Amino acid sequence: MRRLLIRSLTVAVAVLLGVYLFIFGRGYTLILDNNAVDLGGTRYPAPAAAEIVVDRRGGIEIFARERDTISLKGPFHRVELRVMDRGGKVLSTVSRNFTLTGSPTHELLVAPLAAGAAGFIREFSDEPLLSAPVPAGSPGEGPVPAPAPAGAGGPSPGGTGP
Amino acid sequence: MKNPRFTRAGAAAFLMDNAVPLLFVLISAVAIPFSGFSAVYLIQELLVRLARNSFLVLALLVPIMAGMGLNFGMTLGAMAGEIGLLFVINHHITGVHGVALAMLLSVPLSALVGWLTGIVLNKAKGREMVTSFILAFFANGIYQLMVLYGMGSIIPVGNPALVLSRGYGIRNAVNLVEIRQALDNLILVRLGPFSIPLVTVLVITGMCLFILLFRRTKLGQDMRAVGGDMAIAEAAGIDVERTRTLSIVISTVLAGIGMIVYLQNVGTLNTYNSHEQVGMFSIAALLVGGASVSRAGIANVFLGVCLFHLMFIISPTAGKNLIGSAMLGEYFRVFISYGVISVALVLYALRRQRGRAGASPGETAGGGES
Amino acid sequence: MDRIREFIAETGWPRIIIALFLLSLFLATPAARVRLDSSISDTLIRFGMNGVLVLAMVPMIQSGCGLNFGLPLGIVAGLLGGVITIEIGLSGFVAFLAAIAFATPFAVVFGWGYGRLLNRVKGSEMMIATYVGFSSVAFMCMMWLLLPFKSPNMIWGYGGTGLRTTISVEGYYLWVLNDFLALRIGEDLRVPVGMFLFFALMCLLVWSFFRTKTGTALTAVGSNPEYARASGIDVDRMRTISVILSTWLGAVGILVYQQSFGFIQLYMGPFYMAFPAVAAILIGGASVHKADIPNVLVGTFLFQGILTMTPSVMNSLIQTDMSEVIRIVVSNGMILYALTRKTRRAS
Repeated sequence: MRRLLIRSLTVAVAVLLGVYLFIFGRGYTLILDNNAVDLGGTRYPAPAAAEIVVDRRGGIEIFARERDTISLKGPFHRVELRVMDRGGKVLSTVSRNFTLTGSPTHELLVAPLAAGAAGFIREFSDEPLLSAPVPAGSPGEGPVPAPAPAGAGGPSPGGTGP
Repeated sequence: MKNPRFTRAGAAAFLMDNAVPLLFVLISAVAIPFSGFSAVYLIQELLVRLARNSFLVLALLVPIMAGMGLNFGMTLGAMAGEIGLLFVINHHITGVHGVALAMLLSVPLSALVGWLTGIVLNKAKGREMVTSFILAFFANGIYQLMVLYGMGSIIPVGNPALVLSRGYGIRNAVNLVEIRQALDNLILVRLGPFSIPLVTVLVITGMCLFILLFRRTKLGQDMRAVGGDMAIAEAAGIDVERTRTLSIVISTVLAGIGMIVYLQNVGTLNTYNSHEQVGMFSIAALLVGGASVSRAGIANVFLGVCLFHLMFIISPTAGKNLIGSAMLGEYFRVFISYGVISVALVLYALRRQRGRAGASPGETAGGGES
Repeated sequence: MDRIREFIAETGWPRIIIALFLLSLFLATPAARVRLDSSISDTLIRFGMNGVLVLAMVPMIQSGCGLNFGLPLGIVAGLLGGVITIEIGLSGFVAFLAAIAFATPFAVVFGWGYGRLLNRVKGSEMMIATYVGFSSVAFMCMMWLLLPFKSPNMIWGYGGTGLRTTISVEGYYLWVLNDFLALRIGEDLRVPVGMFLFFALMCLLVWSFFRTKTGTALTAVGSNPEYARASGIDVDRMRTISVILSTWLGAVGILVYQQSFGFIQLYMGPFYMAFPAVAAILIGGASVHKADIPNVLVGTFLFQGILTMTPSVMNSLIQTDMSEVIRIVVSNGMILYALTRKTRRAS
């Protein structure tokens, strides 16, 4: 009887440990996207410039129409966004906590976050950010957008095994 | 009364018992100057190899204790470890969490596979080594069935970086960048020109302690009894079959964990080759360290890993500088690896013959070891 | 009903499964759009190619030395014979016979040493045989680089030294047996009569050897060593003879294989060659202690049949080439099965 108890306990601990390791060890690629976005019916303009600090890991500067990536681990994170103008002057600061689960690639949308809206984190998909194209001359156009972030690079193509 | 070790006969006995490691030391001593490597480079390389391989070789000690000989079935444990790693890579679990989770997952799988191995080996008493040898090849076929055909088709694989271009089956070489040296780099100690992966060293030390303490437990004592003489152990009331199976289970589980330690250091998983090589090299290393098929200790493990991998490192360049062909150096190393195992097997068989000729209960039930 | 049950018990399930599997592959050829006649032809050719190598297993099994995992030692002797023949520049049937002639002294010497070793390690033959085989192949790897061969067909190009990994026998003894008295039935069915004749000759040789006094003594040593010793038979000498015979057959076997295959494979080529031969004879009904000629014939046919048919048939049917994995599982599974059967005699 006692052996059964100890064994069940060990198994339970192992399972819990496994679950913990799985959840907190999961790596995510977060795409930081500073484009204008249509979200929940509202169009959010992209700030001219912004500095993003995730989990206190050093500021990433990102101009309008730019994207960048950052690798994160585990589900719980905090982002601090400093909205700036073209000159570099800080206009406002937004801090939020966010959770990552599911798909290994997510995007953090700067535009809604700058406005303090919810839903600024979502799983990465191919859908366009805007339902209608942005007319030329509208606010939020910055310098030429940077190239798309590199996805997870694959290893060299394999032949058949043995 | 003179200390026997210092007599002529004592020296001769010492040479005989430790012929293999001494031979390796001799060959190395001759070849090192020709290899052109500096002492610092060699020592650092050896430190890396020790951290990488010791755990795997330690896994071989338990079956030897139980009289099962060289556990070629450790390859199966290595495969279980690889499957754990594939799961972890598939789900993007990074860093130490990934390594730990892979180890955790490998344990039940290794235990199951080890238990099956034990059953098969118990059906082939007296032929354990050949059987485990062939079993490793057979299991490789099953592994390929699972990994080359099953994964990506029947077993869903979410991470496209793992899958072959044809749509199913895992790639030949899987990049382990997410967990690369995760264990090693946890605490990296710099000692002069050398860097030492402290956590890995601690894990290995823990393993050594476990083995030392295990010898004193009831199960450990049972295993030693079974290893000494199965008939007497049976008469003493020990469940011989169960004890033997348990020794294989423990060995397989440790091999699975050791394989993950190995792979996190290497950084790349050769999905279809890694485990085979690992089995052969671990056994060869243990034997080079002076172990025999019936007796092996922790000292043999570390000495063996050092000497065997030293040969590995210096053979190509030494061969090139000494004889003019790096290829020849390579083949020499291969020959020595297999030759060493042959010599150890022959010595063991000779000793067993002599023991049997001396009559008495020194007989393992079931006859010869083929 | 009882007869069937007896048949199953004696034959063993693995063999029955393998035979049924092969039959189903043959039956599936029209569905897979594979030609039955070329399939049979290919199977027969591979049967002839590998037959003598499997035959090499018989002497050692009969004398109680177990499965000859050290076959590479004999193969190496055959390789030496072939390579010397090419160096000298012989061709045609004469070349083939010369290769055998050159290989024989090597085979006898290797076999003698190997046999003496096995006699000292009774009870552990199979494991040591395996590693003797491996070590000799590894040793020869070094030798192929060092031995002073000069024929330009064999040496690395651009002024290198040492032999190439693969050497073509075209122009030397390619197909000398295959084409000898070859029968043509229809477009695609070529029967290499010469090779079969040679294989049959080898089988006859072995069969008649076992009918001689030495042969019977050898079998006695294998089935009951104490009785044999009591009858005055020199057990060790018989075992050594069986090993020499096995080694020699291995040498001849690889030469038969090469004349059909077309290439001499050096370096690590022979490394794993013992295992298919071991699996084949076990599939044919042999055990670790007993083997006869029908085992060789049935086993080689079944095993080579599977090797030939799985790639072509399964590829077409399920669009996947699983032949390699099937080969691994079948051959090693068969050996495992044989190793885990209870032995009839007490040790």
